[in-house]
Amino acid sequence: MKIYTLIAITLCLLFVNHQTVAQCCAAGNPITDDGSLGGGGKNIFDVSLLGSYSYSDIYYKGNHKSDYKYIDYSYFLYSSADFSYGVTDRLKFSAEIGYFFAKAQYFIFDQNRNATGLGDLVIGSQYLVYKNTKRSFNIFPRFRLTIPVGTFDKVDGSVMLPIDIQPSSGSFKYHFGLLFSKLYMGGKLAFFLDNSFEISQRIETSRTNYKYGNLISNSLYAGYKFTLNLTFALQLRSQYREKASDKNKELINATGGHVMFISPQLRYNFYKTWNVSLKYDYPFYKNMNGTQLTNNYVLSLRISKSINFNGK
Amino acid sequence: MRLAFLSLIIIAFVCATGCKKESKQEPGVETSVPKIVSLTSDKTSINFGGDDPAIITCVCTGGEISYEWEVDLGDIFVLNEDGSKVRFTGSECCIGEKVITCKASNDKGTISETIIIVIENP
Repeated sequence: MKIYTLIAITLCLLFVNHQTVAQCCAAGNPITDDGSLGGGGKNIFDVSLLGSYSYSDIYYKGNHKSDYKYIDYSYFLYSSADFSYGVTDRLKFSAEIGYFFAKAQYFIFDQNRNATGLGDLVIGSQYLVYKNTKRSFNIFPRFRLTIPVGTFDKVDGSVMLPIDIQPSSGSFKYHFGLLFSKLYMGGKLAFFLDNSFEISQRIETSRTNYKYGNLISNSLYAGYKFTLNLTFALQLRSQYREKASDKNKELINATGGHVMFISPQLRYNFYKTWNVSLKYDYPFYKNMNGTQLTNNYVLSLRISKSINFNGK
Repeated sequence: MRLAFLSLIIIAFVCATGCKKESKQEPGVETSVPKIVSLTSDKTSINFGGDDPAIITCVCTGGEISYEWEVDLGDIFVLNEDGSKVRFTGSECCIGEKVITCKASNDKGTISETIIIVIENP
């Protein structure tokens, strides 16, 4: 086991050591993955519905709160449908499509704006590349592709909306990840270590030329089953985003940064194949480049259903 | 029976013509190819933040003009009913030279003009 722990820690540190920075708001779908491994198995089809509310009203300069005010507050209400299917016991495909019911910004000078519309389509796969049944330890490489099918270059009245509240990301995103899982106490206690790297392609439409910074994300998830039906989980997540670049391909200073979240989650299983989970993402550490509006919290509710096509 | 049928047709005709949507274009308003006469701002440079906006006005001839504004980074808000006057500001992310485009269009065509505003760090 020691060797696996070493591999996991080394990979984690490898990703974390990159010098990168992050931004608060971004076009396109929010991160909906909770860093754990849901469903799985051959001919198992999982479907879930997610509702997510995010609120932001705190400016940060570096790692300190700032008195600066420009956007008074900002929020979004997002919902997505997620599907996954186990083609074999080792290979699983997934898809996600979302919709923004609101993506709003209220300014201190009595103006506001709101965008609604279809988010992006995300397709993905994960493969169980290593399995140690005796030690309940698994490794899964993962890949996800964001396809910009949603609403972009949206105009509100007479003004084209800025990029950060467009529902679609406007370009392809490539997401590479490596997930480690380890179970203890016969599966009662589960740990997941998820390391991922997301590359954002430059947005090049007739009206927009912009590139979001790439994203490096590391998370540690621990879930404990209190009863057969009730699981409590805690996730620690670190997100580094590189600076964005403008139409001249110059880096934009007040973009990018490092945010760390703590995310308690409660999951309840009912009627054997149904799950409902409630998650609260709280950013407890922020180190932003320049002065930026940062997130206060995200609240997510997910309901999911597993369908077994094995005929058991 | 024939009279009833005829009456029905007349009523249907009256309803169909009577319920016709009003044309957006007022009768008698003649349009021509739009031409931007001026695109001006009360300031050529502003400080980042919400307290120091630039007020930009686009004057266009041609009749029945609809305006559309865009900028790569920064925030534009319309100030008047026809959309010809806007307020421009930007946060720290938007420091530098910003090119603002005003696009004016009607049924005869579309024309656009740009103006440069510099967002500065005070």
